[in-house]
Amino acid sequence: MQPGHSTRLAEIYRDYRLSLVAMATNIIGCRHRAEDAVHDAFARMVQTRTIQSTAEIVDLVAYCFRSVRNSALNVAQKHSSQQGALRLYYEVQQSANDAGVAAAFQEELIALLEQLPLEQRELIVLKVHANLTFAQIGEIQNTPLKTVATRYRRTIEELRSKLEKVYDA
Amino acid sequence: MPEYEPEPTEMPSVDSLCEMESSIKSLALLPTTADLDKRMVELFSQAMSESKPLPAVKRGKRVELLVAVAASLLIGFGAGSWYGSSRVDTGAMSVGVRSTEEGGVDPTSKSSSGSMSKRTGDLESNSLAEATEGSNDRPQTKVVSRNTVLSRPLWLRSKEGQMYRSYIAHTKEDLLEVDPVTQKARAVQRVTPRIVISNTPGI
Repeated sequence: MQPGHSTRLAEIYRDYRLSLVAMATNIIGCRHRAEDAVHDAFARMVQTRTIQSTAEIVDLVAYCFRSVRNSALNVAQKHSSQQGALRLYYEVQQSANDAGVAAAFQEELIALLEQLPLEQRELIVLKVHANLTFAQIGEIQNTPLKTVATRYRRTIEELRSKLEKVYDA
Repeated sequence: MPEYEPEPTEMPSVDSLCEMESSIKSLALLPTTADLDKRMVELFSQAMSESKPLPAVKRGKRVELLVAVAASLLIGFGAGSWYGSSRVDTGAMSVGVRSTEEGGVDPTSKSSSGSMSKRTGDLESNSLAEATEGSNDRPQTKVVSRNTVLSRPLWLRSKEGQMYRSYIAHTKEDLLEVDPVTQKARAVQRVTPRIVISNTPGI
Protein backbone atom coordinates (compact mmCIF):
# COMPACT_ATOMS: atom_id res chain seq x y z
CA MET A 1 0.00 0.00 0.00
CA GLN A 2 1.34 3.35 -0.93
CA PRO A 3 1.97 5.70 2.00
CA GLY A 4 -0.42 8.59 1.84
CA HIS A 5 -2.93 6.53 -0.08
CA SER A 6 -5.05 5.81 2.97
CA THR A 7 -4.70 9.42 4.04
CA ARG A 8 -6.23 10.54 0.77
CA LEU A 9 -9.00 7.96 1.10
CA ALA A 10 -9.74 9.22 4.60
CA GLU A 11 -10.03 12.75 3.24
CA ILE A 12 -12.40 11.59 0.51
CA TYR A 13 -14.53 9.72 3.01
CA ARG A 14 -14.65 12.77 5.29
CA ASP A 15 -15.71 15.07 2.44
CA TYR A 16 -18.13 12.81 0.59
CA ARG A 17 -19.47 10.36 3.14
CA LEU A 18 -23.06 11.65 3.06
CA SER A 19 -23.25 11.41 -0.72
CA LEU A 20 -21.54 8.03 -0.75
CA VAL A 21 -24.02 6.58 1.72
CA ALA A 22 -26.92 8.26 -0.12
CA MET A 23 -25.78 6.75 -3.42
CA ALA A 24 -25.46 3.29 -1.89
CA THR A 25 -28.82 3.62 -0.11
CA ASN A 26 -30.41 4.61 -3.38
CA ILE A 27 -29.15 1.39 -4.95
CA ILE A 28 -29.72 -1.01 -2.08
CA GLY A 29 -32.79 0.48 -0.43
CA CYS A 30 -31.51 -0.29 3.05
CA ARG A 31 -29.43 2.19 4.97
CA HIS A 32 -27.64 -0.33 7.17
CA ARG A 33 -26.58 -2.41 4.21
CA ALA A 34 -25.61 0.73 2.34
CA GLU A 35 -23.28 1.76 5.15
CA ASP A 36 -21.80 -1.72 5.18
CA ALA A 37 -21.24 -1.45 1.43
CA VAL A 38 -19.44 1.89 1.86
CA HIS A 39 -17.27 0.40 4.59
CA ASP A 40 -16.48 -2.71 2.58
CA ALA A 41 -15.52 -0.68 -0.48
CA PHE A 42 -13.17 1.53 1.49
CA ALA A 43 -11.72 -1.45 3.33
CA ARG A 44 -10.89 -2.99 -0.03
CA MET A 45 -9.36 0.20 -1.31
CA VAL A 46 -7.34 0.79 1.85
CA GLN A 47 -5.93 -2.71 1.91
CA THR A 48 -5.40 -3.22 -1.77
CA ARG A 49 -1.93 -3.10 -3.17
CA THR A 50 -2.88 -3.08 -6.79
CA ILE A 51 -3.35 0.67 -6.84
CA GLN A 52 0.20 1.44 -5.87
CA SER A 53 0.50 3.25 -9.14
CA THR A 54 -2.14 5.82 -8.37
CA ALA A 55 -1.05 7.61 -11.52
CA GLU A 56 -3.23 5.10 -13.37
CA ILE A 57 -6.25 6.42 -11.49
CA VAL A 58 -7.13 9.69 -13.05
CA ASP A 59 -9.60 10.75 -10.42
CA LEU A 60 -9.50 9.14 -6.99
CA VAL A 61 -12.82 10.70 -5.95
CA ALA A 62 -14.59 9.16 -8.94
CA TYR A 63 -12.74 5.91 -8.27
CA CYS A 64 -14.07 5.84 -4.69
CA PHE A 65 -17.61 6.55 -5.80
CA ARG A 66 -17.38 3.85 -8.44
CA SER A 67 -16.03 1.34 -5.93
CA VAL A 68 -18.83 2.10 -3.48
CA ARG A 69 -21.35 1.89 -6.32
CA ASN A 70 -20.07 -1.53 -7.38
CA SER A 71 -20.09 -2.70 -3.80
CA ALA A 72 -23.70 -1.50 -3.44
CA LEU A 73 -24.69 -3.20 -6.70
CA ASN A 74 -23.26 -6.45 -5.37
CA VAL A 75 -25.34 -6.14 -2.22
CA ALA A 76 -28.43 -5.17 -4.21
CA GLN A 77 -28.09 -8.33 -6.29
CA LYS A 78 -28.38 -10.41 -3.13
CA HIS A 79 -31.02 -8.40 -1.34
CA SER A 80 -34.05 -7.04 -3.11
CA SER A 81 -34.42 -3.29 -3.02
CA GLN A 82 -37.00 -1.65 -0.81
CA GLN A 83 -39.31 1.20 -1.67
CA GLY A 84 -38.99 4.69 -0.33
CA ALA A 85 -35.22 4.76 -0.38
CA LEU A 86 -35.12 8.54 -0.58
CA ARG A 87 -36.59 8.92 2.86
CA LEU A 88 -33.68 6.85 4.10
CA TYR A 89 -31.15 9.49 3.10
CA TYR A 90 -33.04 12.80 3.01
CA GLU A 91 -33.58 14.68 6.21
CA VAL A 92 -37.08 16.11 5.89
CA GLN A 93 -37.88 19.16 7.98
CA GLN A 94 -40.61 18.89 10.56
CA SER A 95 -43.71 20.88 9.77
CA ALA A 96 -43.26 23.61 12.32
CA ASN A 97 -45.31 26.82 12.14
CA ASP A 98 -42.92 28.95 10.12
CA ALA A 99 -41.25 26.06 8.33
CA GLY A 100 -44.53 24.55 7.20
CA VAL A 101 -44.33 25.78 3.63
CA ALA A 102 -40.75 24.74 3.21
CA ALA A 103 -41.48 21.32 4.68
CA ALA A 104 -44.50 20.83 2.41
CA PHE A 105 -42.42 21.86 -0.58
CA GLN A 106 -39.67 19.45 0.38
CA GLU A 107 -42.16 16.64 0.83
CA GLU A 108 -43.50 17.38 -2.63
CA LEU A 109 -40.01 17.45 -4.07
CA ILE A 110 -39.08 14.15 -2.46
CA ALA A 111 -42.26 12.58 -3.77
CA LEU A 112 -41.31 13.70 -7.28
CA LEU A 113 -37.73 12.52 -6.89
CA GLU A 114 -39.01 9.14 -5.79
CA GLN A 115 -40.82 8.77 -9.08
CA LEU A 116 -37.56 9.08 -10.99
CA PRO A 117 -35.70 5.99 -12.17
CA LEU A 118 -32.77 4.87 -10.03
CA GLU A 119 -30.12 6.19 -12.43
CA GLN A 120 -31.63 9.67 -12.49
CA ARG A 121 -31.92 9.76 -8.70
CA GLU A 122 -28.29 8.73 -8.52
CA LEU A 123 -27.42 11.49 -10.96
CA ILE A 124 -29.10 14.01 -8.67
CA VAL A 125 -27.12 12.78 -5.67
CA LEU A 126 -23.83 12.84 -7.55
CA LYS A 127 -24.32 16.20 -9.24
CA VAL A 128 -26.31 18.24 -6.74
CA HIS A 129 -25.21 16.83 -3.40
CA ALA A 130 -21.71 15.51 -4.09
CA ASN A 131 -21.05 18.38 -6.52
CA LEU A 132 -19.14 16.13 -8.92
CA THR A 133 -18.39 17.08 -12.50
CA PHE A 134 -20.14 15.43 -15.44
CA ALA A 135 -16.82 13.82 -16.35
CA GLN A 136 -16.57 12.24 -12.90
CA ILE A 137 -20.19 11.08 -13.03
CA GLY A 138 -19.57 9.62 -16.46
CA GLU A 139 -16.66 7.66 -15.05
CA ILE A 140 -18.74 6.43 -12.12
CA GLN A 141 -21.74 5.41 -14.18
CA ASN A 142 -19.63 4.27 -17.13
CA THR A 143 -21.52 6.62 -19.41
CA PRO A 144 -20.26 9.19 -21.93
CA LEU A 145 -19.96 12.72 -20.60
CA LYS A 146 -22.44 14.17 -23.08
CA THR A 147 -25.05 11.57 -22.22
CA VAL A 148 -24.67 12.36 -18.53
CA ALA A 149 -25.02 16.10 -19.15
CA THR A 150 -28.10 15.66 -21.33
CA ARG A 151 -29.69 13.22 -18.94
CA TYR A 152 -29.10 15.59 -16.04
CA ARG A 153 -30.59 18.59 -17.82
CA ARG A 154 -33.64 16.57 -18.82
CA THR A 155 -34.09 15.27 -15.29
CA ILE A 156 -34.02 18.75 -13.81
CA GLU A 157 -36.38 20.10 -16.46
CA GLU A 158 -38.73 17.18 -15.90
CA LEU A 159 -38.73 17.80 -12.17
CA ARG A 160 -39.38 21.48 -12.65
CA SER A 161 -42.32 20.94 -14.97
CA LYS A 162 -43.81 18.33 -12.65
CA LEU A 163 -43.40 20.64 -9.70
CA GLU A 164 -45.07 23.46 -11.59
CA LYS A 165 -47.99 21.18 -12.46
CA VAL A 166 -48.40 20.23 -8.81
CA TYR A 167 -48.54 23.84 -7.68
CA ASP A 168 -50.64 25.03 -10.62
CA ALA A 169 -53.27 22.38 -9.99
CA MET B 1 -53.00 42.43 14.22
CA PRO B 2 -53.55 38.97 12.76
CA GLU B 3 -50.45 37.00 12.14
CA TYR B 4 -49.67 36.43 8.48
CA GLU B 5 -49.70 32.82 7.49
CA PRO B 6 -48.69 31.92 3.96
CA GLU B 7 -50.79 29.56 1.92
CA PRO B 8 -49.52 26.02 2.38
CA THR B 9 -49.67 25.37 -1.35
CA GLU B 10 -47.71 28.47 -2.25
CA MET B 11 -44.87 27.44 -4.52
CA PRO B 12 -41.40 28.86 -3.99
CA SER B 13 -40.14 30.43 -7.19
CA VAL B 14 -38.57 27.84 -9.44
CA ASP B 15 -37.76 29.81 -12.53
CA SER B 16 -34.55 28.35 -13.75
CA LEU B 17 -32.63 25.13 -13.61
CA CYS B 18 -30.25 26.68 -11.11
CA GLU B 19 -33.11 27.43 -8.77
CA MET B 20 -34.37 23.90 -9.17
CA GLU B 21 -30.91 22.64 -8.31
CA SER B 22 -30.77 24.82 -5.23
CA SER B 23 -34.21 23.58 -4.21
CA ILE B 24 -32.98 20.01 -4.40
CA LYS B 25 -29.83 21.00 -2.57
CA SER B 26 -31.98 22.32 0.25
CA LEU B 27 -32.90 18.72 0.96
CA ALA B 28 -30.29 17.84 3.52
CA LEU B 29 -28.74 14.40 3.41
CA LEU B 30 -28.97 12.39 6.58
CA PRO B 31 -25.75 12.15 8.56
CA THR B 32 -23.90 8.86 8.67
CA THR B 33 -24.43 6.73 11.73
CA ALA B 34 -21.95 6.70 14.57
CA ASP B 35 -21.41 3.01 13.97
CA LEU B 36 -20.14 3.57 10.43
CA ASP B 37 -18.00 6.55 11.42
CA LYS B 38 -16.46 4.53 14.20
CA ARG B 39 -15.65 1.66 11.88
CA MET B 40 -14.20 4.01 9.28
CA VAL B 41 -11.97 5.79 11.79
CA GLU B 42 -10.77 2.42 12.99
CA LEU B 43 -10.13 1.34 9.41
CA PHE B 44 -8.13 4.41 8.49
CA SER B 45 -6.21 4.52 11.73
CA GLN B 46 -5.25 0.89 11.31
CA ALA B 47 -4.23 1.48 7.69
CA MET B 48 -2.17 4.52 8.57
CA SER B 49 -0.41 2.74 11.39
CA GLU B 50 0.37 -0.24 9.19
CA SER B 51 1.65 1.63 6.16
CA LYS B 52 5.32 2.46 6.22
CA PRO B 53 5.54 6.15 5.55
CA LEU B 54 8.18 7.61 3.33
CA PRO B 55 10.34 10.29 4.95
CA ALA B 56 8.41 12.87 2.98
CA VAL B 57 5.15 11.81 4.55
CA LYS B 58 5.21 13.61 7.81
CA ARG B 59 3.88 11.64 10.68
CA GLY B 60 2.51 14.77 12.26
CA LYS B 61 0.40 15.45 9.21
CA ARG B 62 -1.01 11.95 9.25
CA VAL B 63 -1.84 12.20 12.93
CA GLU B 64 -3.36 15.59 12.30
CA LEU B 65 -5.60 14.21 9.58
CA LEU B 66 -6.57 11.27 11.70
CA VAL B 67 -7.52 13.58 14.53
CA ALA B 68 -9.40 15.78 12.07
CA VAL B 69 -11.34 12.83 10.70
CA ALA B 70 -12.11 11.59 14.19
CA ALA B 71 -13.12 15.05 15.34
CA SER B 72 -15.29 15.63 12.31
CA LEU B 73 -17.06 12.39 12.95
CA LEU B 74 -17.39 13.26 16.62
CA ILE B 75 -16.39 9.87 17.81
CA GLY B 76 -13.46 8.22 19.45
CA PHE B 77 -11.80 4.91 19.26
CA GLY B 78 -13.58 2.27 21.28
CA ALA B 79 -12.39 -1.09 22.37
CA GLY B 80 -14.65 -3.75 21.04
CA SER B 81 -16.01 -1.63 18.24
CA TRP B 82 -16.10 -4.72 16.10
CA TYR B 83 -18.79 -6.03 18.38
CA GLY B 84 -21.59 -4.44 16.42
CA SER B 85 -25.30 -4.96 16.27
CA SER B 86 -26.57 -8.19 14.84
CA ARG B 87 -28.07 -7.68 11.42
CA VAL B 88 -26.76 -10.78 9.74
CA ASP B 89 -27.43 -14.38 10.39
CA THR B 90 -24.09 -15.77 11.44
CA GLY B 91 -25.40 -19.29 11.31
CA ALA B 92 -24.17 -19.77 7.77
CA MET B 93 -20.57 -19.33 8.77
CA SER B 94 -18.08 -21.54 7.05
CA VAL B 95 -14.78 -22.65 8.48
CA GLY B 96 -12.52 -21.00 5.91
CA VAL B 97 -9.99 -18.95 7.79
CA ARG B 98 -8.36 -16.07 5.98
CA SER B 99 -5.53 -13.80 6.81
CA THR B 100 -5.19 -10.18 5.84
CA GLU B 101 -1.59 -10.44 4.81
CA GLU B 102 -2.01 -10.95 1.12
CA GLY B 103 -2.14 -8.51 -1.73
CA GLY B 104 -4.96 -6.49 -3.13
CA VAL B 105 -7.50 -6.38 -5.88
CA ASP B 106 -9.20 -3.86 -8.02
CA PRO B 107 -11.97 -2.47 -5.83
CA THR B 108 -14.05 -1.59 -8.84
CA SER B 109 -14.54 -5.27 -9.45
CA LYS B 110 -18.18 -6.24 -9.10
CA SER B 111 -17.52 -9.66 -7.72
CA SER B 112 -17.16 -9.19 -4.01
CA SER B 113 -16.54 -12.80 -3.19
CA GLY B 114 -13.84 -13.12 -5.78
CA SER B 115 -12.16 -9.92 -4.80
CA MET B 116 -12.29 -10.85 -1.15
CA SER B 117 -10.63 -14.10 -1.95
CA LYS B 118 -7.89 -12.37 -3.88
CA ARG B 119 -7.42 -9.72 -1.28
CA THR B 120 -7.27 -11.93 1.71
CA GLY B 121 -5.60 -14.92 0.14
CA ASP B 122 -5.89 -18.49 1.24
CA LEU B 123 -4.03 -19.71 4.22
CA GLU B 124 -1.80 -22.68 3.73
CA SER B 125 -3.41 -24.36 6.66
CA ASN B 126 -6.91 -24.35 8.07
CA SER B 127 -5.66 -24.71 11.58
CA LEU B 128 -6.74 -21.85 13.76
CA ALA B 129 -3.61 -22.20 15.82
CA GLU B 130 -1.44 -21.87 12.76
CA ALA B 131 -3.54 -19.04 11.50
CA THR B 132 -2.65 -17.00 14.53
CA GLU B 133 1.01 -17.28 13.74
CA GLY B 134 2.48 -15.08 11.08
CA SER B 135 5.08 -12.59 10.14
CA ASN B 136 2.91 -9.72 11.19
CA ASP B 137 4.46 -6.77 12.97
CA ARG B 138 1.27 -6.17 14.90
CA PRO B 139 1.02 -7.48 18.43
CA GLN B 140 -0.06 -11.06 18.51
CA THR B 141 -2.33 -10.69 21.49
CA LYS B 142 -4.44 -8.07 23.18
CA VAL B 143 -5.41 -8.10 26.82
CA VAL B 144 -9.06 -7.15 27.06
CA SER B 145 -9.78 -7.92 30.66
CA ARG B 146 -8.09 -9.13 33.81
CA ASN B 147 -8.16 -12.75 32.72
CA THR B 148 -8.90 -12.70 28.98
CA VAL B 149 -6.44 -12.30 26.16
CA LEU B 150 -7.46 -11.99 22.52
CA SER B 151 -5.39 -13.19 19.61
CA ARG B 152 -4.81 -10.95 16.62
CA PRO B 153 -7.82 -10.80 14.29
CA LEU B 154 -8.63 -13.74 12.08
CA TRP B 155 -11.08 -13.52 9.22
CA LEU B 156 -13.94 -15.92 8.71
CA ARG B 157 -15.79 -15.99 5.45
CA SER B 158 -19.50 -16.77 5.49
CA LYS B 159 -21.23 -18.67 2.71
CA GLU B 160 -22.44 -15.34 1.36
CA GLY B 161 -18.84 -14.28 0.97
CA GLN B 162 -18.89 -11.73 3.77
CA MET B 163 -15.90 -11.46 6.03
CA TYR B 164 -16.28 -11.55 9.79
CA ARG B 165 -13.62 -10.48 12.23
CA SER B 166 -12.91 -13.09 14.82
CA TYR B 167 -10.49 -13.73 17.61
CA ILE B 168 -9.34 -16.61 19.71
CA ALA B 169 -9.95 -15.62 23.31
CA HIS B 170 -7.97 -17.35 26.04
CA THR B 171 -9.70 -17.02 29.38
CA LYS B 172 -7.89 -17.95 32.55
CA GLU B 173 -10.04 -19.41 35.28
CA ASP B 174 -8.99 -20.06 38.84
CA LEU B 175 -10.52 -23.32 40.00
CA LEU B 176 -10.42 -25.43 43.11
CA GLU B 177 -9.63 -29.02 42.29
CA VAL B 178 -10.65 -31.54 44.96
CA ASP B 179 -8.71 -34.77 45.14
CA PRO B 180 -11.32 -37.57 45.31
CA VAL B 181 -9.14 -39.70 47.54
CA THR B 182 -7.73 -37.26 50.03
CA GLN B 183 -10.53 -34.71 49.64
CA LYS B 184 -7.90 -32.02 49.65
CA ALA B 185 -8.57 -28.97 47.57
CA ARG B 186 -5.89 -27.22 45.60
CA ALA B 187 -6.02 -24.12 43.46
CA VAL B 188 -5.40 -24.66 39.77
CA GLN B 189 -5.57 -22.36 36.83
CA ARG B 190 -7.30 -23.48 33.65
CA VAL B 191 -6.99 -21.67 30.34
CA THR B 192 -10.01 -22.07 28.09
CA PRO B 193 -9.65 -21.11 24.45
CA ARG B 194 -12.78 -20.09 22.56
CA ILE B 195 -13.50 -18.34 19.33
CA VAL B 196 -15.19 -14.95 19.31
CA ILE B 197 -16.86 -13.89 16.08
CA SER B 198 -18.08 -10.42 15.28
CA ASN B 199 -21.77 -10.03 14.63
CA THR B 200 -21.20 -7.49 11.90
CA PRO B 201 -19.56 -8.38 8.61
CA GLY B 202 -16.82 -6.21 7.22
CA ILE B 203 -13.23 -5.44 7.84
